[in-house]
Amino acid sequence: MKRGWEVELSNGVILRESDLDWKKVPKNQIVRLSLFYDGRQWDLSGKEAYFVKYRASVVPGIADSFRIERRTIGFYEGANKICYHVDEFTGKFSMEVINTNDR
Amino acid sequence: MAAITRWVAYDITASGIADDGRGAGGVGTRAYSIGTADPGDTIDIGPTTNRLHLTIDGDAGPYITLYSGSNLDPRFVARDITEKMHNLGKADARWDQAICTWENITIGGSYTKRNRFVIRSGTLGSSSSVTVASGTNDALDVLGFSTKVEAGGVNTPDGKASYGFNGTISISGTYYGFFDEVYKIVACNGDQAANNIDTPSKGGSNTYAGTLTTGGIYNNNTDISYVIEIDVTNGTTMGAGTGNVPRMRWTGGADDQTDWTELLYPDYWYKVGSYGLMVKFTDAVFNSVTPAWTIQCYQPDYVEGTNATAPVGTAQYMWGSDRGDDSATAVTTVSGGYTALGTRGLSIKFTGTNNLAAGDCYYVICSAPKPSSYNITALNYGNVTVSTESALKAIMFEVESGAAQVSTVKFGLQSHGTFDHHNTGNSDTYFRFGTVGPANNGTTPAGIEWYPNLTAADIDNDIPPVYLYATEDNLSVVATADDSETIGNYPLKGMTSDPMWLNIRLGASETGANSTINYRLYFDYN
Repeated sequence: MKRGWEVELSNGVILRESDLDWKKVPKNQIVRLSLFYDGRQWDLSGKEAYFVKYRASVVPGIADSFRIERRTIGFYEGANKICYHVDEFTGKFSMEVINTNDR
Repeated sequence: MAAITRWVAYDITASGIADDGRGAGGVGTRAYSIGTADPGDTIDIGPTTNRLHLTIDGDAGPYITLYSGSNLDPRFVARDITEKMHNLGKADARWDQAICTWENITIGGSYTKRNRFVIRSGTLGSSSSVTVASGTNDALDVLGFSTKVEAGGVNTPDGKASYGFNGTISISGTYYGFFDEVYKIVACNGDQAANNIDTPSKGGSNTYAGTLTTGGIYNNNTDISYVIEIDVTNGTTMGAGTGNVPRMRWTGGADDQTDWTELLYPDYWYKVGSYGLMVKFTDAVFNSVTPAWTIQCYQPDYVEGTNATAPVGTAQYMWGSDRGDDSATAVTTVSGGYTALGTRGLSIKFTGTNNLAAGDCYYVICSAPKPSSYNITALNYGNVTVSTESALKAIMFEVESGAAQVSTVKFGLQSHGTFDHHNTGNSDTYFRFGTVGPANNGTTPAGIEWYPNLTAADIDNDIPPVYLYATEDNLSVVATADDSETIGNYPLKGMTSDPMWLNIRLGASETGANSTINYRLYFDYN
């Protein structure tokens, strides 16, 4: 897989973004969540809960203009969401901590 | 995975409408139809499953053709049904104020997951009825109406056996809300925490670090202490899809719920019990625990001092809405006069010949400004004369499928096309922007979400008028989300942005014609 997330479940099964929607992933069986970007790889494991997020953009009314701007994997620490961002155009990595109580 | 989006346009003159239940004076309850088969949390609608055959108050409307698509978000589908009912052109409140919602409606029996479509008539009282029928290419199966529970409206108050007051309410003002909303008005005095829904008490073993918020207004003939239990067998966080999220149930004396409600979305109102309490949760990790929270609710005892009844003029009331627009303290009625209802521009008057009694309950049903067109592909500002402002365009962005949550919505000017005098300092062309909405209110009235008949003068300054949240008199060309304008987003009626208003002021030196400009909207989703 060139870009996208990959999940390893506790039973050894590997699920990938190209195979199914994140909503269908059994979240309570995840032992590893990885993000791939053109040969680069970021791995998360040993966390209580994981998430996947995207930043996208679109020109009003032009469906073909939809594009991914950024891919994110992350995990929760209570009310904090620890985000691992990778810019879709540059591959530049950044981290962010979001307190969901502040939103 | 790509999120499927669409743009919705509104006439500048569009306005919300508040109604008393089709001449019922706010008295009684609405009929409903609940689809009790589990439709999942994504809906597939196609050419053979896109008709909803409805009868409301005995009036068999023409079937509604639903929006087609795969994996549609159920909140989006519910709003689509609501807007289609309003757009039938009936000019009758039973249809024009009818509302479809996606909610964990209370149903007898055991229904795991519980989140369901429910359709309610716009009529209050015993003439109110809703029937979802089968028919050609019907949507019964895909919407979960292959089995259903239907009940008519009644003339008695919600939560109490009979009214003390023999009168009605009438409504004044303009509804400045952007989505449908139902206000429940209960005769009672005091303040919210001391006399209606107390501050939640968190269980000692509850490790949830987010925020639980209560909403609504409780009305019953007895106090109830609700004890909420959380289970994370399927998942510990919301937004993860049906079968993978935390679940909630509660005990509450005669108002227990022994089966589970899935907590599908953060910041989304969930009903607790049958008497008006709602809760919502910020996005954080849950653990399996009981009691997770205990919430004490108090029946309305008095309407003035320690008097259970009092005349209009001294009697008080509180309100709550199904979108969480709740009063903090009771309002004193004025004999022959209007007093506040909600924070979006409405007021009500009580008219009758005897005393209001604690627990007398009334409803005001508000419908949203109607969209003028869907899936718009372009904004045409028309022929604009130099040195003048174009007409305003009002639009809203939403995600229809491929996501469960949207956040960090930004809007920017990507290209100013062939205009030569933008940010050049010589009789410039300006690209104007303004926004207000359910997520980011204006200041007057405090809960304003939409303002009809905006003009160019309302958005030609970076300081917004009181009825807008933000304005930008001249968008610069930008290439990133960070440099774009912030727009609110709202999870209750789909995954929607706040509405925005746009126009251009053509600079004096511009020449040429048919310039195409591009905006771009950025959003986070999962």
